[in-house]
Amino acid sequence: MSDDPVLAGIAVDLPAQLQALDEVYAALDRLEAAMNSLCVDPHGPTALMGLRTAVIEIATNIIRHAYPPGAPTGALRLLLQLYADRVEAHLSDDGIPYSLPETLFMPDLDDLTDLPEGGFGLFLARQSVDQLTHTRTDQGANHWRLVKHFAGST
Amino acid sequence: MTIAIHVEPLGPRLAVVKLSGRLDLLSAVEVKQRLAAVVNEGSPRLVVDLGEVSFIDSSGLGALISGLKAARLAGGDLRIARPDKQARHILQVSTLDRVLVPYATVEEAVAAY
Repeated sequence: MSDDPVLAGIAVDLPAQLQALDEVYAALDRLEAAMNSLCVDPHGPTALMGLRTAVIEIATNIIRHAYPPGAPTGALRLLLQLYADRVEAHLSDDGIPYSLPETLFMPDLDDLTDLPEGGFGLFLARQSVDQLTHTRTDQGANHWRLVKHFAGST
Repeated sequence: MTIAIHVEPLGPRLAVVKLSGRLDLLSAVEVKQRLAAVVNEGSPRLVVDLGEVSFIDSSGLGALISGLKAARLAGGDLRIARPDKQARHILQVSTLDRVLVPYATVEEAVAAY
């Protein structure tokens, strides 16, 4: 965490179920509205596009995999933050410990008869932001931090 | 429902499938099934119009890949038309634009068949 001031912050606590995705989109829309009203940076919209792509992938991952099938629906916490030079997202759950692979890659596309239909969400998320980190907290939560800077957003 | 699907037959064995909304985990199965049905009904040459799609995630890409595979098995193909900036972003970083070829307009995608 850095010490520079947060210009806008949006926090939502959701049940980790499919319908919660609508609330995640809504939170991202609120961040976009805050960014537009503050006219933070010309690269803001492009940066937010990358963050949005990554947030939806991680939220989907939490909904699908954090809690075992049949278990009571657990929590999905989302915090979005706007800074002068970047946007950040923090997602957390209380589900089973996750271990982020050291390297993420796209499945082989050369065999057109056996194209993969999934399994590349984390790769897309990683490619869409400048930083993507996962930590398992002492309190037993999975915590994801996603950072996308405005400078150089393409 | 996060997506609307409109199918427009456009000549022999060719159909334009226009999607409107979000193509994500919530809608991917519906899109996958609809693309397969269009192929099975005799239109293996597909143009998927993404002009009204506001967001695509990896689940949505999976649905398009599934449609591509079904189309090719039937002797056709699946081409993308009017992807917005976010769609182009994930097609590029995933390198899937090598197989899901994007076109600027529906007309260009149709003409390429």
